[in-house]
Amino acid sequence: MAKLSDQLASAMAELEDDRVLNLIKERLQAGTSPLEIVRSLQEGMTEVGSRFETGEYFLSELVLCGQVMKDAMAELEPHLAGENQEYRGNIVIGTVRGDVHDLGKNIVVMLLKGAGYNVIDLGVDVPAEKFVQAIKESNAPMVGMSVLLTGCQDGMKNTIEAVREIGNKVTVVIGGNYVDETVRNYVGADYFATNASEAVKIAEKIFTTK
Amino acid sequence: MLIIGEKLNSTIPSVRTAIQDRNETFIQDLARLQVEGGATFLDVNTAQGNNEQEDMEWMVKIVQEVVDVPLCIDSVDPATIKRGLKNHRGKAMLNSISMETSRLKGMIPLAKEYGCELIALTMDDQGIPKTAEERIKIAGQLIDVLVKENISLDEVYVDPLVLPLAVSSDNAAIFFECLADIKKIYNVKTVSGLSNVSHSLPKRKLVNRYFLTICMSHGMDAAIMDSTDRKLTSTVIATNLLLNQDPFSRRYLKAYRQEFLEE
Repeated sequence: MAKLSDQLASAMAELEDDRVLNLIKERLQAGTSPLEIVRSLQEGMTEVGSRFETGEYFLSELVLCGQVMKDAMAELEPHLAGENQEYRGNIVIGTVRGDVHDLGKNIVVMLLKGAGYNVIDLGVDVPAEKFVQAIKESNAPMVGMSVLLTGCQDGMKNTIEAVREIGNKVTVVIGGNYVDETVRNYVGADYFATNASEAVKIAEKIFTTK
Repeated sequence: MLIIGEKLNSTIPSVRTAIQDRNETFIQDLARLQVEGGATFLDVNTAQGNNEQEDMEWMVKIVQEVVDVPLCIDSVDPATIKRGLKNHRGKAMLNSISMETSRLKGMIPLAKEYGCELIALTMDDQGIPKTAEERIKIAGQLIDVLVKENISLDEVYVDPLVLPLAVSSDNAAIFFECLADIKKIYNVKTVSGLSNVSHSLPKRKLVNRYFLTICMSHGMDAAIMDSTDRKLTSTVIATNLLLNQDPFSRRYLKAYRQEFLEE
């Protein structure tokens, strides 16, 4: 079992929902930054994932983890929005065709919104044409594509090809628990991120250079 | 579903002897064991000891020394019930009231005085009726009385009294009908013991276990049962899961990890 850095991460890993919410409230009151809190939650979630992989946790506990995270993010959302209200540009985001997981994507959406971006969230199981259309309409310099299922990699590759055909210089960031440099290279994306705060950092980079 | 532990009952020979010998350790161990098995109430009956009223006071006191769960004071004698309630710390349960004239008269004032929860049996001076309709009718009469006496129906558990299958093979089916209809018509909680149904059958525990499951699927809110029987308590946990009473399978998985579940 991995060593968890703090109480909140371990409450999340143990799926103690009441304790998670109480700790979040306490920390917000104590002035901890919401992003810091999200990091702890994600650490806990990662631990839940690995406990599931080793067979220690069962599927219903993975589902419960998603619910706890949702409740936690609902608690955090008003504070994230307050962090930085200045408008910094458009970002298109969605979970690629064939995949319906939205937990990770929703966290990224919330953090990006909190960081001042206008996020156009296309939802889940998004076909390539929808990405293309949204990028054209918004003229967004960045598109985020979320994927959890390894079987959807080719779908992602096709979507990115379609996006490249538009011709404008949109930067493609892929995100998901399993993505890495190899996947990024295979699907032809510009960046990859395995957690939400990395996604925010990449956005900052993209929008400062553009 | 509420589990009412049934074992502190003087009709069980070893318990009777323990009561007669004032064997505190035996009684207290049995109380603890039932709570560890998941009982959230413990039934206490001293009808077969030395002196029912004195035995009741003794049992209530020594049991409450070792467990925190409330007790279900079980007697047909109002004076014994009073003795139990008087010595009970916290909110107890009264087992039981019925439409029998003397019991009704004796128990109503106690229920009001002590504000306890209440088990109400669907029988009257003519005994336990055979049909579901008649038992449902008695439940209605009882509820009218309780409402008139300003006793909150939230505190009431109706027991439609299951009769042995050995007597008539439709007895369990009649009982399930009572459970469902009493809840639907009067919106009160229901309760039952599990062992009557299998009287004079072999392998009784098997029948009792499935009986419990079917009762639960008919909305039964409490059972008076052996909470030290792991197969039985595992059945409760699995049935709760099946009936959508256990979000994310939490209690089921917790019990699994504690190596509590028995297949």
